[in-house]
Amino acid sequence: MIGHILWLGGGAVLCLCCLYIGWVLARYYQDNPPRKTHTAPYSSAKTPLHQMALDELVELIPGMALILDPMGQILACNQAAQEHYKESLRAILRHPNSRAILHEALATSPSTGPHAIHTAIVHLDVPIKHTIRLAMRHLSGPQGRDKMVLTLLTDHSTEQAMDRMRADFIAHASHELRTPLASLSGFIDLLKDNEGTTDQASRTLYLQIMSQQATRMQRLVERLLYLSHLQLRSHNRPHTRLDVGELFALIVGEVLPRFTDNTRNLTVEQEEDHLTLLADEDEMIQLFLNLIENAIRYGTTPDHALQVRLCARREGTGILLSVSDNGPGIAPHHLPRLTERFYRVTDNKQTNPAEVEEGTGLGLAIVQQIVERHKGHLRFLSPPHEGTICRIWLPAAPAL
Amino acid sequence: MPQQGQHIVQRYGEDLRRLRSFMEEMGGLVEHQLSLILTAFTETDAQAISQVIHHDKAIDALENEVETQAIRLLALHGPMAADLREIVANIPMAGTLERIGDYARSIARRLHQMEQPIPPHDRLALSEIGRMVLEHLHRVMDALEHQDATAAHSVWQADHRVDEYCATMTHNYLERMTQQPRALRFYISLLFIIRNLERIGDHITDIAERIIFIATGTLPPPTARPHGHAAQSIATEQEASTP
Repeated sequence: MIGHILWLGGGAVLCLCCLYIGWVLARYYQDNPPRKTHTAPYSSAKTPLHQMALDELVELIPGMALILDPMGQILACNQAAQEHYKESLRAILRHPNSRAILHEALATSPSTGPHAIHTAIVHLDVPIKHTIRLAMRHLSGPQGRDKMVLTLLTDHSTEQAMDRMRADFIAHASHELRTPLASLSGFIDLLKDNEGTTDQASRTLYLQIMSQQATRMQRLVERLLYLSHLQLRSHNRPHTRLDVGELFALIVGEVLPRFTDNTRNLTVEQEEDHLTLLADEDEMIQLFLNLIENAIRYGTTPDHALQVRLCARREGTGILLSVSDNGPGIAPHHLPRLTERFYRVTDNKQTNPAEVEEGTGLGLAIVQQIVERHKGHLRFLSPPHEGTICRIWLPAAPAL
Repeated sequence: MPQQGQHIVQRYGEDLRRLRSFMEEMGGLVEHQLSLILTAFTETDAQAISQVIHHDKAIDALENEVETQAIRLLALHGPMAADLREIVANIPMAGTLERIGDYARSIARRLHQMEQPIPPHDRLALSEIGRMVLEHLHRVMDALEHQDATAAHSVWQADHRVDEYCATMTHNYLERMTQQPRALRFYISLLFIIRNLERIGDHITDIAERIIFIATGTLPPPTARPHGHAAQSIATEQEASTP
C-alpha cells in the first residue's frame, strides 16, 4: 500500500519537474530566440553551431578581426573588417607578407609555450592605396584539432598617405614650378640689367609675361595642394546624400557668368528626378567645374558657338553623368593619357596656344581622383566630328 | 563502410582547398611583384627590384605544386563537372601566372639597367599603366576565388584600355626616338617595358577566359574580345609611315 503511494507520489513529482523544465525552456526561448545564422559570404563547411560560435566570437572583438583556417580561407569575419575592406580583403590575405606570418603562426603550437603574435605590414596599391598592419595568433581546439588563426587588422593608410603626400608634393612642385620660375627670373634680370634703357613697350610686354607666369605658378600650387588634399581623403568614402538636380543647379549658378554671350551655350538634361548619389558636394562641384573649364578651353572654335551639355541618367546600379561639347574633339592617341598628372594636349592646332599654356595638366587628374574616391568610373570619348564626351559613372545612394 | 567513404570525401575537399590555396598564394606573389614594380616606377628603388627577382623562384616552385596537386586530384578522386573544369584549368592558369611573373622580372631587370633616370612625366605614365594592370590582376584573382564569371568578363573587356594606353605610349616613344637618336637605347628599354605591361594585360585576359570556362563551361568566342581599335590604327599608321 505504502509502496503504491510512494510510486504515485514519485510519478507526480516527476511530471511536475518535467512541466517545470518545459516551462523554463519555453520562457528562455521566448526571451532569447535562437540566433539566426549569419549569411556570411565567407562561411565554410563547418557545422552550423561551430560557425555560429565563430561568428559571435569575431563580432565580440573590437576593431577588425577575422578567423582563418590553416589554408588562409576566411572562417569568420566581423562587420568592421567587411565594411572597411570589402573587395580588398582577399587581396590583403593572399599578399606574400600575410601568407608568411600565417605559416609562422601555424608553426607555433601550444606545446612550445604561449602562442606568439606575428605581425606584418601590407601595402596595397589599387584601387586605393592602403597600408594595413596584420597581427595573427594561432588558436587551436582540444588536442590540437581545428587549427585556426585569429587575425586582427589595423589600418595605417592615413599616416602613410600623409608621408606620401609630402613626398609627392615636393617632387612635383619642385619640378613643375621650375619652368615658370626660370622665365620669371629671366625677365627680372632683363629688366634689372637694362634699367633705364628699356622702352615702355617692351617693359609692358615683359611685365605682362611675368604676371602670366606668376598666375600660372599660383594655379599650379593651388591645384597641387587640392590634389594632395584629395589624396589624403581617398580612404574614406563620402556618406552624404546628394541630389543630382540640386547639384546641377549649383553648378549652373557657378558657371553661368562664363556663358553670358552668344558664342557659348549650356544645357542641362536630367532624364528622371530624384537621382541621388553618395557624394561630397564640394568635390562634385569641383569635378564639373574642371570639366566645363576644359570644354571652354579646348572646345571653343571660331567657326561655331560652343555647346556644353550636362546629362544625368540611371544606368545599372548607378548614375551616369556626362559633360559633352561640340568642339574639335581630342585625337584618339591622347585619350588614354588624359587623366595622367601634368599631361597636356599640346598638338591641337585649332585651340589657342596661349590658352593651352595656361593649363596646369592637373584638372583631369583631380577629376580622376574624385571619381576614384567615390568608387566610380571615368571615361573619355571623342568620336570624330562629335566633340568630346566625358562619362562619369557613380554608384547610386541606397534607397532610404 | 560509410566512415571510410566520408573520409575520402573529406580528403578530396581538403586536397581541392589546398590546390586553391596554392593558386591564391601564386596570385599574391605575382600581385606583389607588380606592386613592387609600381614602386620602382615612381622612385628608384633597388630593393624593390631585387625582391621582384627574388619572388620568381617561389612562383616557379608553386607552379610545380599546382601541377602536382591537380594531377593527384585527377588521379585519385576522378572529379566531375565544375570541379573537373576547375582542376584542369588550374594547370594552364598557373602557367600563365608564372609567365606574368617572368614579364615582371624582365621589367625589373630593364629598370635596373637603365642608364639614365626616367623623366618624371614618363614615370607617371608608366605607373598609370602599371596601376591599371595591377587592378585587373586583383580583380581577376578575386573572380577566380569566387568563380565569378561576370567579374571575369568585366576584366576581360577592360583590357582594351591597357592596349590603348600602351599603343599611345609606343607612338609617343617612337616619335621621340626619331628626334633624339642618341637616347635610342633608353627609349628601346622603355618600349620593352610598355610591351611587357601590355603582355601582362593579355595574360590576365587569358586567366579571365578560363574562369569563365570554369563557371559556365563555355569559352567566350575568340574574336569577341574588344581590342583598342583607335589605338591599333595609330600603331599600324606609325608602322606604315616608317620606311
